Amino acid sequence: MMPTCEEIARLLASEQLEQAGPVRRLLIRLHLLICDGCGRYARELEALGETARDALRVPLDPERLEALERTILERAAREDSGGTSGSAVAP
Amino acid sequence: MAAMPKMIEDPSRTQGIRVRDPEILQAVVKANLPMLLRAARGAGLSEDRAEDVVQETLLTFLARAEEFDGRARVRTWLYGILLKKISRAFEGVRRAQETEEIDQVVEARFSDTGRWAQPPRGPDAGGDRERVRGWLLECLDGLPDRRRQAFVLREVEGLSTEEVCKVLEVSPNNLGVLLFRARNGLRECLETKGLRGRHDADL
Repeated sequence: MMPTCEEIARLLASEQLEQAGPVRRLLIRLHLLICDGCGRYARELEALGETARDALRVPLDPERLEALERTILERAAREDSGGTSGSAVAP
Repeated sequence: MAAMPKMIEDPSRTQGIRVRDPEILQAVVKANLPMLLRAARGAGLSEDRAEDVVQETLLTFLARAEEFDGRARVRTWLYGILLKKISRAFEGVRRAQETEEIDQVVEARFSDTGRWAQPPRGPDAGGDRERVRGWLLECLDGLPDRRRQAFVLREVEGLSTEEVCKVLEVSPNNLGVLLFRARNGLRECLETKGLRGRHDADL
């Protein structure tokens, strides 16, 4: 049976295309070439990822990063030496 | 004889973490700080809250460094700890929203024979990039936690599907459902905003 648009949309959005067998995958690829709706759907999914990366990968302030790193390491060292167990690192 | 568990993380780094080699621990903190901060921001935390939660995450990891066994990458462990802390931070605040409304919305886009009844408009129908970025953040914020986490880890942080499964402790099939719902939720939300934007512009 030929794959339907609905099936293809489901496989694309859930990233489960590999679960279809090789012949079915080939049919799906052909379908994507000729079906306008599915082609647009696939491009929209790709654009979603791109837009999300654009929106969330904001540059972080290097000074703030460094300060945070220092705080974490200092706190970790303090908690280490404060512990009574013998497992703490030797200086 | 039982098979040896497979090491995924680099063995010498794993060993360094287990014996708490200060240089290696410092490198782990440095290398993972930006990703963790982004993931926390992506989960909807403010800049300050994100820094707090990331700090707690790394301290938890450092305190339990001896337990690290290298069977998953360091960053997979760290994401796991981070998401547990975030969901605790959100407990009771965020709606659990386990409805499956989106499944029906998607179904309604197809005819009985599985063809598009209401085909998508395509990625360029939304408006300018800056505006679409803003909309996307709003739409992300409206997604239920698990869906948003799955989407952000996969698309923004670029984790493999296997890694996302480990972090979220779900099966590959469940991850498929989460991603399907997240992506379609975002698509529908963006499309609605795009249509509304266009009508506003026409006024």
